[in-house]
Amino acid sequence: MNTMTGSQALVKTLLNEGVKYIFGNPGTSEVPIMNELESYPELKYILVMQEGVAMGMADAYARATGKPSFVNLHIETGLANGMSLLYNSFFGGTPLVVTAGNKDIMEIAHERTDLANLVQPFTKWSAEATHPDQVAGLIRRAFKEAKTPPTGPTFVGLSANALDGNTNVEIPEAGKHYTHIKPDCKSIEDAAFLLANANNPILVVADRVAESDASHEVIQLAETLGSQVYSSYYSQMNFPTDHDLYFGPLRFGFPDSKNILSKADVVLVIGKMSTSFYMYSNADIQFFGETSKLIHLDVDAGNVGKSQTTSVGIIGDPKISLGQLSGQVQKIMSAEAIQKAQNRSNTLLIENTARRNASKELLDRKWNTSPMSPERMVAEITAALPDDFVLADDAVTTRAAYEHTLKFNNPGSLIGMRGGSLGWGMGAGIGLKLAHPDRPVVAIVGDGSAIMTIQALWTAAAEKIPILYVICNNGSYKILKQAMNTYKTMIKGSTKLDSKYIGMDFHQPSDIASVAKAMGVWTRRIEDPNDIQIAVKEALSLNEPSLLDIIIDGSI
Amino acid sequence: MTIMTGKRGLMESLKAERVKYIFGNPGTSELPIMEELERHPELDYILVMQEGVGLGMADTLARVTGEPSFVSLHIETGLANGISLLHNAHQGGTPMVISAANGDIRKLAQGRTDLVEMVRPFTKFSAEITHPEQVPSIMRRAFNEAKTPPTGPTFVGFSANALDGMADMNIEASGKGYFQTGPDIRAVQDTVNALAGSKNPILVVGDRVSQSKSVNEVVELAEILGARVYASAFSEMNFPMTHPQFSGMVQPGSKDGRQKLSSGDVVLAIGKLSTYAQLSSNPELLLIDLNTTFIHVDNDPSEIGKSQPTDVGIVADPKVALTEITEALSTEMSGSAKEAAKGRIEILSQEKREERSKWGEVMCSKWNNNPMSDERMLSELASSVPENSVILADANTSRASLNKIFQFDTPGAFHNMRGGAIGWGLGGAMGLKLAHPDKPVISIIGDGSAMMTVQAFWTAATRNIPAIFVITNNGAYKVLQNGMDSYKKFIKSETESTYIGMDFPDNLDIAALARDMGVAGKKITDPSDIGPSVKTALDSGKPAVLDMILG
Repeated sequence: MNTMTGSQALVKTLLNEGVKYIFGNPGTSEVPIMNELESYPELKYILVMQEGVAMGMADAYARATGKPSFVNLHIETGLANGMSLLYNSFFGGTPLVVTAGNKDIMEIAHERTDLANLVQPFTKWSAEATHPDQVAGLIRRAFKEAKTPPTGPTFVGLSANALDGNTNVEIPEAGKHYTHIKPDCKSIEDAAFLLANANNPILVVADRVAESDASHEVIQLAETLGSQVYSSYYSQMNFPTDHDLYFGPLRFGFPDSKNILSKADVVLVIGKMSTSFYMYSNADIQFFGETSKLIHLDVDAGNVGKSQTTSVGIIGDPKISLGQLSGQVQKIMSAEAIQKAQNRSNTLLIENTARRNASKELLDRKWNTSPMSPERMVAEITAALPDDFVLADDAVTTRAAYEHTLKFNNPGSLIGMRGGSLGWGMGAGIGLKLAHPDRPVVAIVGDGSAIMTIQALWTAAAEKIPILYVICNNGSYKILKQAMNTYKTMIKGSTKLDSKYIGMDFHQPSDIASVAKAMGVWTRRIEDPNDIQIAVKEALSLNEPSLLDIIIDGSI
Repeated sequence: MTIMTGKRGLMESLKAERVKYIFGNPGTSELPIMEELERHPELDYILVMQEGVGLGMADTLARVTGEPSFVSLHIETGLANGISLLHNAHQGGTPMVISAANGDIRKLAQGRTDLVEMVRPFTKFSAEITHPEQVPSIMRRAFNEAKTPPTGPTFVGFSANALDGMADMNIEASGKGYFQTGPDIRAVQDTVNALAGSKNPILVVGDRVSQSKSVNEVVELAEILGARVYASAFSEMNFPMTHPQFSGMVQPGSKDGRQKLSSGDVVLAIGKLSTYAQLSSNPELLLIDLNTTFIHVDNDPSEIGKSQPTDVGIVADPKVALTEITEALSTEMSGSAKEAAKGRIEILSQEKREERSKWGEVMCSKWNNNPMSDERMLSELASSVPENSVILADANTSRASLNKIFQFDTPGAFHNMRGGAIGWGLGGAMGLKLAHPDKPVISIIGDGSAMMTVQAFWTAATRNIPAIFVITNNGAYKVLQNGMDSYKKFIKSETESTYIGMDFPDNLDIAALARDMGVAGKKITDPSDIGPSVKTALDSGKPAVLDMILG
């Protein structure tokens, strides 16, 4: 056993956990850590100019590598600045460990913020080391909690005396985890029975599918059942979007989605049900029709049966559970049921073909509009993307345009914003590129979100990270204008869409290209869609960060 | 009483409280508010592109007007983004009401964030309105708490159903406050006894002096005592800097701070002894040695005797307390004591003259540095800004030089950062300009801080808020490099550092960033350009950035 400082114990524990990057912004309370890092060149500190950038980076990096990432922020002020995007990681269940220095514990009578308490609402587990002997154990636990399903962010505070004081504690190894839990057999039996006998089953996928690498199992089950597949907010490649049974995203809680789900007699949801920012006043809590039976599969026991009437709750690893479920369904499906499933598949193919044709017609109508339509923009970008692309998606209103041309059928090809906080995309692009140094990485980001953490561009340039940013520049918080119209019609019962959209229009055009250039990033401002493909190809051929500021139609 | 929606009740409450501006960034949950605003043109919504900018603006507006300002943020995500600078407002005691809308309370089973608890550590009062009926009373309470000394920020949440639901509402503003409370007479007596016999009295001023408009009273007391005056916080003009008895800042909790304060036999402090900057391990737990008599005056009872053993704690409005103390002292102090006091003033004056002379030498030695020195830049700036300018400073490592060069003497002439979070300055300067539409507003902001809320420039351009932003551009988080040097020297006994995470490989081009967001921006490397550039910027009537490249 060696005597070492708490700072040294911290760094050694991080190395045992396989941490390569520290995403952060330091303050005086982190000086002991920054000092220690000078002796450990294997740990690379990535400096950000605003903490949200570090959180976006850490989130995407963890999701892409499947391992907890590590963030170091400054006392309550820096930590608070990271909370907004910490919320996104918490909502989505990203494994990451956030830390921050704090004052010496002796100062408690003067004043001292309870950092662990501050972030407790947005973490799986949070604690503070107030003694050097605690550091190694708390950091190890933080990593364990982060990566144990259901995964999520954790926090460890580090008081000044814990960092500078001496400890003899042994530094533990990271340890193996056995997390592929099998579900209760009865739950599989009961669920299979419902599905096998359903007349109109629907499957809804969410990120838990991608995280357990279960998209093949979902495909198998869907094809066996002849069921439609929808996605809750699509933020990872959960199901191939070009599959004949895929019908797009659902917004739980919204009337249109409730209508769709009410037509199903059995619905199987895998993962978390996202309400896609349904924040309107409304007492109705049920997402499904009264006669629909809900089967909810998740690895998060707290999520199953939380607020929806649930007929069968399946708690287990999605990949294993779905495999068992498919097996059981195939075993008990009668010949008649199999025939019905086949009929459903045929009907759905026709429906989906019509849907795709409608989509194509819409794309044609929007092809030559001026200003450029989001649909046209996405089509041009898609045409220039290499097959092995990885996309960070933070384009809340533009993403509706993906369905016409941009397909996701490669696991890991998409890491999308989840949780709703603006500012994720700019940092996420960098994190994703760090995780995939050898693949082309593109971040499609709405202008409002880009501006929220515009400081990310400084880090991209300073670290020379060849991420390509595509900014959907429509000069507004378009999502809010859409939402205002929904508010007026759905809640206020108005027939006129005559809002002034106070606080939603950027009256000054945002010249994001120039701002990026001032931070050292290669940029192009694009108004003509015919310029996109060349620009994308050129940007991807560079070995430096790049940004395409694409001016698109903001009308609703 | 009238039946109205909760959102309308909110607007009527704001108007009753004389709020003019709503600083904000909206999300879906704020739509009812944004929709209601369309019917209330008297309320001016100032959109910011990052929430910290809104907090900065609200902070300075309130510090100048003395009335609570109002901020509207979006659910937990927008609210979280405002906490860093809310912390600053809380530390400094700025009266402001911040708000955020939340989901419908009836959907509690689905899960929702407790916004109230999120910000409770940084507010005086924090509550969520879950029923429209609650709007008038909670709004009134939030404003009342914000402006009742000790002033500070409060939070009001609004659940969706509270905004859209209807109720009978009686809107009445929080009333006129009677806050000039007087001290316990025994406390005054004990204080006077201690001070009358003091051979080496020290006064310590904090922002509470400015907040209670008691600068003159402190000066009078200092002069009758012949006391040395330190500032524990100087983010407002708490004591005239040119006064011979003013000896600069102390950091409570630091070794140096303890030594300085303990050099007196009696110390009288007014306001909070703030330790937010004391972040290293093994701090001084005692701010002042125990054999120094310590008298503490504040309107915040929880600050008195909080952590430093206190001989006389005076809970009162500082203006009233100081007046009573000075009056009693003029009677109690003997002739010889008064003479001795005069003698002390002589010594302090001499000390100050010598210090000024030494400072003059420092200035000379740095005058022609290339790149420009801090001191040269600030000198040129000080001589080129109009007399009636209001100055804002948010540049950590330039603070000491700034105070020596500008030598603020007039209450309200300047405002400095407090609380420790960077990112306040750009928003703060704009709020200051809204508060002083007819005076030149010049801000001096560190490059790191400017970058933290650089989105401010979009608002400055869109709303044409003609503040001048001077950036101290030294290509680093300089305060951290200084901190690392201290850490290495005093804790590690080492000398070299590579300053990981504190050095910017290239200087931040703040001028270019400003221009690209629609604000005139000029990079300045030659000190002789400063005067003309300030004039040009002020004459333009538009916001402008002067990006000073320093060595």
